[in-house]
Amino acid sequence: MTDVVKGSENETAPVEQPGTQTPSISQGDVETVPVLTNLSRTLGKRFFELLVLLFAISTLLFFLLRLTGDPAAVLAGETGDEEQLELIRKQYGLDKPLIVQYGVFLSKVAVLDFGKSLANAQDAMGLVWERLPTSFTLVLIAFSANLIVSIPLGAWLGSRPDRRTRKAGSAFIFVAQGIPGYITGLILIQIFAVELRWLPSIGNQGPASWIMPAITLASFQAPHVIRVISANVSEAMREDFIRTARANGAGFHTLLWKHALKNAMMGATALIGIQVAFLLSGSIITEVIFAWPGLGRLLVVSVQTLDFPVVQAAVFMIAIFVYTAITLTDIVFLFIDPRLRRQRA
Amino acid sequence: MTDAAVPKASAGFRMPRIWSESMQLNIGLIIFSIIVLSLLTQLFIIPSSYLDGELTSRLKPPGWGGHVFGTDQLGRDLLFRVMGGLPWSLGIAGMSTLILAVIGTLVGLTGAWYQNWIRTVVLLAISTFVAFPFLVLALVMVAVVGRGYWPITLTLGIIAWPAVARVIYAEGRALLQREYVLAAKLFGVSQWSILFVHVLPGIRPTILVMAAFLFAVMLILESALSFLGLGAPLNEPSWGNMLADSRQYLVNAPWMMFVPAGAIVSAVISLNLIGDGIAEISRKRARAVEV
Amino acid sequence: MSMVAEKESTASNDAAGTPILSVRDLVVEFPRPNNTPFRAVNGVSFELRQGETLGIVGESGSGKTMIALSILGIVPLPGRIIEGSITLLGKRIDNLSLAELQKVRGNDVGIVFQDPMTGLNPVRNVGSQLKESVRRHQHVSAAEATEIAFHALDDVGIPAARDRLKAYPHELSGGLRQRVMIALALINHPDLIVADEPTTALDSTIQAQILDLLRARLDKSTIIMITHDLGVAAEICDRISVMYAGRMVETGSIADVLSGPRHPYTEGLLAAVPKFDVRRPTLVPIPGQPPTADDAITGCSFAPRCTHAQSKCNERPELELIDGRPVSCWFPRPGAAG
Repeated sequence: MTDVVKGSENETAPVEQPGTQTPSISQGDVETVPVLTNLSRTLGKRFFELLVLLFAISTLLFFLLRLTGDPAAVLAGETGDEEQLELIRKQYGLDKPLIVQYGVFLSKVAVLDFGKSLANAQDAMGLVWERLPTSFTLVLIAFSANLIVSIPLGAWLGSRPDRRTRKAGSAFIFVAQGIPGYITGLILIQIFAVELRWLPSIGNQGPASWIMPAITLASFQAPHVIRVISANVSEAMREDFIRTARANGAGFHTLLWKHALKNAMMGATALIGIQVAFLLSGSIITEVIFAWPGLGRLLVVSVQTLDFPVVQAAVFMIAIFVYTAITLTDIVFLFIDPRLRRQRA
Repeated sequence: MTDAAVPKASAGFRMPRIWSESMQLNIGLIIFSIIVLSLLTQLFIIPSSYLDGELTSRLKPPGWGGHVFGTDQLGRDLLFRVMGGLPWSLGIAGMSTLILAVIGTLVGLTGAWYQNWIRTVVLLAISTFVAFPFLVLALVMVAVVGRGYWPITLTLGIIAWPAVARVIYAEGRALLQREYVLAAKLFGVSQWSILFVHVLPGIRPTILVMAAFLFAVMLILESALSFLGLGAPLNEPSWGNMLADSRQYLVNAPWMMFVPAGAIVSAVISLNLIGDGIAEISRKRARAVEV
Repeated sequence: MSMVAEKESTASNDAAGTPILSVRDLVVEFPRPNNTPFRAVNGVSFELRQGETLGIVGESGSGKTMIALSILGIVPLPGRIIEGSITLLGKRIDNLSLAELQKVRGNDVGIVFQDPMTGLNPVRNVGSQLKESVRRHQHVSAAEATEIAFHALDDVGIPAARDRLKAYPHELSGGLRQRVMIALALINHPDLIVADEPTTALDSTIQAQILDLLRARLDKSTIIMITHDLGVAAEICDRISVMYAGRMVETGSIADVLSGPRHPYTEGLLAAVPKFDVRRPTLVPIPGQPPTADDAITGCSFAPRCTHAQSKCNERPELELIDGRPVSCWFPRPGAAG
């Protein structure tokens, strides 16, 4: 009977979540793996991935640059004549064999030395460091705003998905998901800067100037997070343990906030970590739209002017940023999710 | 004779019906067909001079002088331009989706099949690249390989495969552990025929769903690249280029923004509807089989 | 155990004559699109007295779980109780407001579900789930609630109960989890305990332990034991009701029913149970399948599978007292002789 009624709603995406498997049924004592073991394993894994990524990207850049033409010509820019090219080849060691150049390049990359910016001869990594705090501020504000709004809203929408207001809300979120952040940004500017003249649309001029960039950036992923949490919550609300809690007198709000949401959040772990990567993509566009003096805008300008040392330094920094953020979410969830924290051996 | 033979040959295969059981899929397909049809019609209808503007009719609002959607800063008709942008925006997105779906499926299945160092390498590659922002990679690659149609298509196709590979790996592995696959292995059926005969049909719905969603993501990415001035060449009517142009004229000619924005949003929403619809149908069928 | 005395409900209803629970003509329906509603429970009545254990036996899909869920008012949507009454301790509970119903659930009625693997929240520790229920129904401090939770775990025979309060469900074996589920059902000293297939999901050795535990509670508690396993019912029940297709077809004391089944379905069930102590050449399966939701049967719903069915069976038989036992069959079996 129960089978017919529940309709077995197993809709989880087959994303791997190591360590969440239910242990087999057997009588036995609780065995505990210390938090630290898992923690160092996670950190080690992430660090290794970061190294692989950095190595792959720098290798890719190095060879692409040399496969597609004369790097000296690229470095010299459009005005370089033959004499200048010779000079640049000597200066950058481009006259040496490719494999030697690659070795030199890697050894410099290893100590985060990317050379000087072609545009203004400043240290490339220094330029990137300078811009990092502004980007970080923006991403942090957007990330927090995103979670503060998305989690409760997603939970509410998913709690009783068959109710009319929630259906309408879900439809709205679906449409919102189809609007890329750069369009949201332009529409915000159109309304709040052009029509209403309430908010500044350019640069970092204090808290009022943070509002539109932060909303724009959050809009890149908020609808997605809301939908995932709502789907997870509506699935969790059909679980057996919800029935147990109901059978013991728990009311709707206890069921939703104390039982279902926590489970739904566990399922959204991977998503929220990857969020940071999406937010960084979004921050590049957002910074360009709002002339925000951050890392993303630096990257775009450097790509436009083919300032490769700065491009490489910026990509490196973004990779480190992403992996730090993902590792942090890993650690946070290691402490929240009991199934990851303590496992039967 | 032939009548009797047909159902036998197509056992297990259903003719794709145009009107499906999922309303989302139907609506998505309708919107998407309208967009694609207008792509085809523009090849015949639009005057060859559509790219040339008339400076006398600059920044005219929608409806002015027969320009349904108005004109841009060079007096070009926005309707024709947004239609002319289809090969750039939809074309690049579609081609790159095809490329990344193929690469992702092959890599994912390879990882699922082997149980040695190959799997380790595949898994490492997936987990390493899946978290890295697509746009950053795309920007850097485009800077090096250039801004033509094919360089952008290939770049987008090459960078996004880990998203597909990760899911295909997980599903492929689950399928490879089913009894009928084990039986086929025991009978000595070759690797590729197991993968293509037994596994691929099982993950086809997943591939379709992911392809629909990633098509939308690629469309957004292509437009983002162009919007940043690093995608389609500046004069080409890519929707991202049109959006970038509109930024200068938000005060005087907001329709310059709303026209390409509307095109992008309706294409993305229709693709998301299609993806959701296919997912819904395959879920229902899976449940029907289980019951 | 001092909690029991504090509950006025128990005190006022101890009179031996008054039933703890009385279910009258219960009908639970599930609407189906483009079809007549499906009646999961179709006019069921029974009573339970203080300290009595009633077994409800039937195949899966016979509606026995729905009876349990109806008592707690948690029939899953779109199902609904459309007829009948459920009276607990002299008070109608089928038409209570949600807030009043929540005071009944877990407080006056405790339930043990079938699957201990999924019945506990995996991301909250055992103690917090027990304490949540304690503090909902009893006005006690957090520290007192912890003590109550500890004693509850200790009472159901969980070793090192104080440490286990901090354990998460995945850290416990299936048997321990089911003990936790039982502790949760008992923690507020309910007047009625509903056990819905409490041993089905467990290994047979652990099954026996859980049955021992339930049997140890028998003197103190009033229990509805829902099971498909006649053996389980025989071990701990005073009376059993046999359900078929949403109806009770036969009710009686455990000895009477097992030794002399009157309804052909009960007889068939008994014939299909392996026994060590009775010499019987073969197990006899019941032919056919239970009716599905789509089978519209106007007469006796067992008739299509019944080897003794006659044309009269196209009319619906009512429950009639046969040797003091309610049986719904036009041609009851001879009983002890068979």
